Amino acid sequence: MLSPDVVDLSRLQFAVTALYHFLFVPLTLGLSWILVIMESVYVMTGKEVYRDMTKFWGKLFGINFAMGITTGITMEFQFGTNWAYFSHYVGDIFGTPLALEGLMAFFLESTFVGLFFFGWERLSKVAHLSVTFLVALGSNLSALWILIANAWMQNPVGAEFNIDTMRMELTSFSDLVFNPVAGPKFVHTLAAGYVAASMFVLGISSYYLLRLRDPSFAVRSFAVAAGFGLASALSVIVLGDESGYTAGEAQKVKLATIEAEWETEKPPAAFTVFGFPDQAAEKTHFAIKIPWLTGLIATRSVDTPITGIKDLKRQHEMRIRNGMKAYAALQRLKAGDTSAEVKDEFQRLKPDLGYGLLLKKYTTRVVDATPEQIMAAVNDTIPKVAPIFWSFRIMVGLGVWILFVFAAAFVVLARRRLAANRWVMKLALWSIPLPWIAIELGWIVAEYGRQPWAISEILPTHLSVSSVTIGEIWFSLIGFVAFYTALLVVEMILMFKYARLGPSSLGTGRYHGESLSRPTTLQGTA
Amino acid sequence: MPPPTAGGRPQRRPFSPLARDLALILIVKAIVLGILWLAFFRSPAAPHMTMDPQRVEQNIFAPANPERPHAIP
Repeated sequence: MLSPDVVDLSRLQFAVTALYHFLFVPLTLGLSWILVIMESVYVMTGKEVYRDMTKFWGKLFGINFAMGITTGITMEFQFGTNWAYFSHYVGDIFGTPLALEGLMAFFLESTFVGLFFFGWERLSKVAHLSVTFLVALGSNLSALWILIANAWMQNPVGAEFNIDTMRMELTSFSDLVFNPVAGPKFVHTLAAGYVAASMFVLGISSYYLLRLRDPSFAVRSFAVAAGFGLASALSVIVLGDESGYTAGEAQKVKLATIEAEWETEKPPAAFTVFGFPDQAAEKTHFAIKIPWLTGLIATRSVDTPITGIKDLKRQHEMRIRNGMKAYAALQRLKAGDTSAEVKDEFQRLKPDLGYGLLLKKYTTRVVDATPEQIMAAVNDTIPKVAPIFWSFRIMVGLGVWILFVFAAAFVVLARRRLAANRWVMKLALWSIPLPWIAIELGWIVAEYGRQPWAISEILPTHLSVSSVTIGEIWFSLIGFVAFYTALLVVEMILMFKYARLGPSSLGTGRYHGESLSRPTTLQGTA
Repeated sequence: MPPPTAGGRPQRRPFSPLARDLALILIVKAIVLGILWLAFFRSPAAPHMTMDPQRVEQNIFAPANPERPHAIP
């Protein structure tokens, strides 16, 4: 058993690298489609301003792509070194999705990104648009395979534990790909990326409009971002609802934790809008509830209960006790007792083996665990409620705010009242960071909410970590933080520089600061 | 097409400052990642995401490096 510091530091390192990595990803996912939209209009209308828009926003896309590429590889470094047991357990499952992700990212996405930048003079309009489309498709498809792998950790389907290799082995590739958690997770993540990119374009376009710069360019960019952003924000909410539904089916603990649902309420369960979850007392203080809402979202019915944390813990105690028996059967099998009775016992109790392994945190003799040790393991099956409860609510609150900003932008633009509603542009500008905050909080809900498992109900996190020293993890963690922070600072410097320059950075001679004529009003542009 | 020079040969367009900056950043990134890998990750316990099953057994049944188990909270 490893020191808790090694486990916690390894988790911290993985969390920090994943969260940093995902600062870059959403913009790549979303901005690539915005470029497709802009360039499609250029191809259809032949208007040069749309070509300039594609080139300028493509420049910002390029900065983000260059900064973000390979930032995910550090997580693969950690798999083999810090998370060797996890790595071995999932190796047979993750091999295909990670290889496909590599193929998509490096061959499809990176190749076509190169063609996007260097192909303007060499390719026909339609051929270049096809390249832009393939950039978007490649980046989105590479996310698909990563999210399939991630979804499997949340809901490990299509695989069986093999006692000879001591790992999970794939039994059905289609079950892996069509994991019910994977689909909603993929589209929810993509839509969130589209929202982030739309807010980025909307906010920067607002900056130009507020400063009366390049209105023809800015208002068209604003329009694309408002339309795409509104559709994406609505999609995020609808798809988030679908994620809630799958959580109700496949991730009951996460759902109960998000809702601080201590008791199994009479269905349909209420939604706690606000409150202070108290894990020790197993109650939520000053709870403000909306009747029925959680039940309807999570079960799509009025008579299906949502199991509360106290009942889940009772179920988990049973599963831990079964897991102790599964562990004993596995020990006998590995010791050479291959009698039908032991095999049957193991097969019957195998789904609960992971629960038995939770006891390894408290004793090296799982089969002889004391009632106190069992209860400690039972308590571990519920992650810390307050951080998940609050992360979820802040994420949802930000989502509603973002929807409002896009809706306001869309309405004032459609009514040609943008110039008279400068507050919308100011809101958009100051809202640029909010989608990123919401996205990071979403990942905290998803991953922290999976604890104490590295692979849900199969492999506890504390058994996934390798024997690395605390010093090694500290130094590599400091190295990663310094590396990612430097990348982020450089990204910010370049983004601010080129966003401030605006389309004049294209050097066409048509934009702000490049000619003597300068617009002084927004009238007629919206 | 790049404009021709006086001699009739097409003039090579120099890289933009941004392309130069990004190329430099990518090179520095690759070097830093390489250094981090060499320093901390070049000897993974699970190369290619596999380990000796006996080592996994040891981890599950009798840890190779047992430390004091967690106290019960």
